[in-house]
Amino acid sequence: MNENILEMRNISKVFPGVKALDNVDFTVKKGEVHCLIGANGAGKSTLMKILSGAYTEDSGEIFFNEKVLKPHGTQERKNVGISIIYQELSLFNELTVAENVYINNYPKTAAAAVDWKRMYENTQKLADSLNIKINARAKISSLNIGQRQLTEIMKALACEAKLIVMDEPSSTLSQSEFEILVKVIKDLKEKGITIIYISHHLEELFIVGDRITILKDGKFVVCKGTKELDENSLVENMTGIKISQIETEEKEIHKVSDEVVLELKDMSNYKVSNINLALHKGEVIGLYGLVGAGRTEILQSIFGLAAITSGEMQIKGKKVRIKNTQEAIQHGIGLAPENRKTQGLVLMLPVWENMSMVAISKFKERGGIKYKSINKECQKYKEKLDVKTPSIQTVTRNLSGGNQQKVILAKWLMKDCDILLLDEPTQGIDVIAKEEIYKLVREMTTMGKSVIVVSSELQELLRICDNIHVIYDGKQIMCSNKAYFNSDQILHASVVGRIG
Amino acid sequence: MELKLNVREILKKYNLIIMLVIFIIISAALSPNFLTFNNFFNLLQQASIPGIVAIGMTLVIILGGIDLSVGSVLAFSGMITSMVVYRFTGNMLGLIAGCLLGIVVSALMGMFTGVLISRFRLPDFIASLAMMEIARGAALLTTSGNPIFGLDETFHIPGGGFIFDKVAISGVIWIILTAIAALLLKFTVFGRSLFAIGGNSEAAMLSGIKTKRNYAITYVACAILAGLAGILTASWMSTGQPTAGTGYELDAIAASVIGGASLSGGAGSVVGTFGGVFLLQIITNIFNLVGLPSYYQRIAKGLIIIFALLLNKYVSKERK
Repeated sequence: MNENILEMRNISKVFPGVKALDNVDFTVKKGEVHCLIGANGAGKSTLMKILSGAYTEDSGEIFFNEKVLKPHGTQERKNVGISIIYQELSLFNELTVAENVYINNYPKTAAAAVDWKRMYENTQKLADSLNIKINARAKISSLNIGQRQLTEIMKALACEAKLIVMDEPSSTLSQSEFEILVKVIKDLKEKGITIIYISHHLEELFIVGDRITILKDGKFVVCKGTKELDENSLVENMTGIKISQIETEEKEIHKVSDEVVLELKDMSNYKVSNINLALHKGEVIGLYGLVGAGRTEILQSIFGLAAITSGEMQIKGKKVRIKNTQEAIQHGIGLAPENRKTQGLVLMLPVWENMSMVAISKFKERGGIKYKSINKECQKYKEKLDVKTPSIQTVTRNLSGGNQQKVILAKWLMKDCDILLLDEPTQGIDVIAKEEIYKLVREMTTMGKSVIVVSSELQELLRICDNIHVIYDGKQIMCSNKAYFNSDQILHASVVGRIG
Repeated sequence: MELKLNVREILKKYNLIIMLVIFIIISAALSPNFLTFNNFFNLLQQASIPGIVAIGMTLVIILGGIDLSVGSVLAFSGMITSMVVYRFTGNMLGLIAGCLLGIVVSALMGMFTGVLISRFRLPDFIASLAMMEIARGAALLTTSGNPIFGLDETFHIPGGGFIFDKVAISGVIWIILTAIAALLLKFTVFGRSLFAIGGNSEAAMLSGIKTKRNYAITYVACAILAGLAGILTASWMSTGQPTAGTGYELDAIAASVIGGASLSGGAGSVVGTFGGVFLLQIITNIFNLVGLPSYYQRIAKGLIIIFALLLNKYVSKERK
């Protein structure tokens, strides 16, 4: 008998402009806890989405219990016993634990009505068998995050899952909640259930995992038993040496002025604490860290979206308190938010309207808004930024991601702001458009503008930034100047939360 | 292919006008009295008051909201004005003061609804539903539910007067207000901001638009227009009627949507709404001319709304 419950062979998946997965092999033994790790963008999520049936692989084969899985929908995969618990849980807050557990197959009475009694009993039995202390009749909204996670696990078991994928289960758990999770995972193992465990927290892998598979840039790197690896070798495998080779090619030091335009002094907010940062005129600062480390939250405070709880912020040497976005804009700050479609643009409006949204008062004359000048200005920026759109009248929804991002940049350039905050500016954008955006950022700095970039792609930051700050779990743990950029060190710091 | 595309383009741009023309032709065929100047001016007079209400509703819908309280605000404003006008019969100043008071009270009610929605984040549907009840109750309370008859004759002029004995003054007011609202939407920063907020309020906020303030202002504008319509109603009937304006909110919503507004916000036009109000009024008018009972009217109205929306959907199918 084959001891492998899951074999994914030669899986490839291409997205426009990116090869997300390149001939990846991934094999999981029956009854083990198999950890899957890799830096942001290494392809973990894509691989798991292919496993769940949410994506279809371009090539490759999947064997589950020695049977080939044809590409189909998520429901079929659930039926064969593959369950995925996503980072953002998918529970119904206003329903009880039992209802959530049995949401896909409510137990029925003979009269085809919902058998509430049996549902509560079964749920309670399930909880007891895993030594989970939870009330089957409690509403999800009354539970803490750890209990919700456990509810998700019970839900997977109620569907008779044989393989459970846990995507970053610990990221929002407290230490004690994590310990409960570890215990539950052990119980699940004893029941013969296989688990794929994805986490950014490397130290956890040695606690829960039997084997570890590492992906990097969409490629399989290594699969070894936990005992054969240590933290350093993990980081080495996750980062590789390729990145450091590239960076040496363009290590010219960019002259930055001495003039400080924005300074954070021991700034803390609801997520981050004691951030220190000085942004000079013409400088590009990068904020690197894992997703959820608190990078976006730093930008939020600068842009007046999150109150500064302690410390202070200075603009051009003057202490400021920015309470809302209008004040931030008055101080010459602009933000290209993380999510272009839901935060950056009004998709149903034409390109010109989005481009002129911030600067519109500029076009106001005695007779009202002057459309001629708006037209001229938008046309100018369309050419300058090479926005590929049939016309500025085109509805913004119809533009590609890269061109939408350019529209957002045009919006802030038109307002002539001095400080630009770019949150994941190239996420989901193809390679060519990425290059164009890097070029634009460089041009902006020569115009005397200063930029803070948040990105999950280290290569990107290494290329465009003068300084990179590494954020880990709300804390600033490292700052590196372009002259001394060392990608291994930065990656290591972002993953383990300390230098060296 | 080319031709087909063009047909769709034309339909898209002028679908409301085309529908109006179709209905006018049908109506003209059904009744010889329909296509006369007199009847046209009649239509203008009848459509003016719901039309003024619909202007405000369109602004709110563009913003992504909805205001169910307009009919009740109309009634309350009408009652307040009527009470003052009645008390000071024959006094011009009293008349003006009455009208102003009606407007101010409406504005306050709009402000209340707007702040509930923008500041306290109540759903717009519920907040305006609550105001609908409050304002209706207040209107009935003013006179314990009785109408106020016999208002000043001068007061009858704005709602019931005619220029050259033909053109209703209220109709002219409606046209002027539509023009003002259209210019406001097109040529002011505030007007453009409504489209941005309705299209994506988070993106609008991140672009520095004062979303909360503009929300409140728009609800105030909508309530003021409803209040003005209330004064015109009282003036037209020379009566303060606490049950006036019942169901106007739904007519106003229907007219806005027929005119191209999207209930999810970000799209709409007051000129389109003007056409929408006219269209609905034509249906009422032709049924009256032909002499069919009003039950049929309501069924027809419902069908027209469905037809108009399906047509809008068909012509705006842009997505690939």
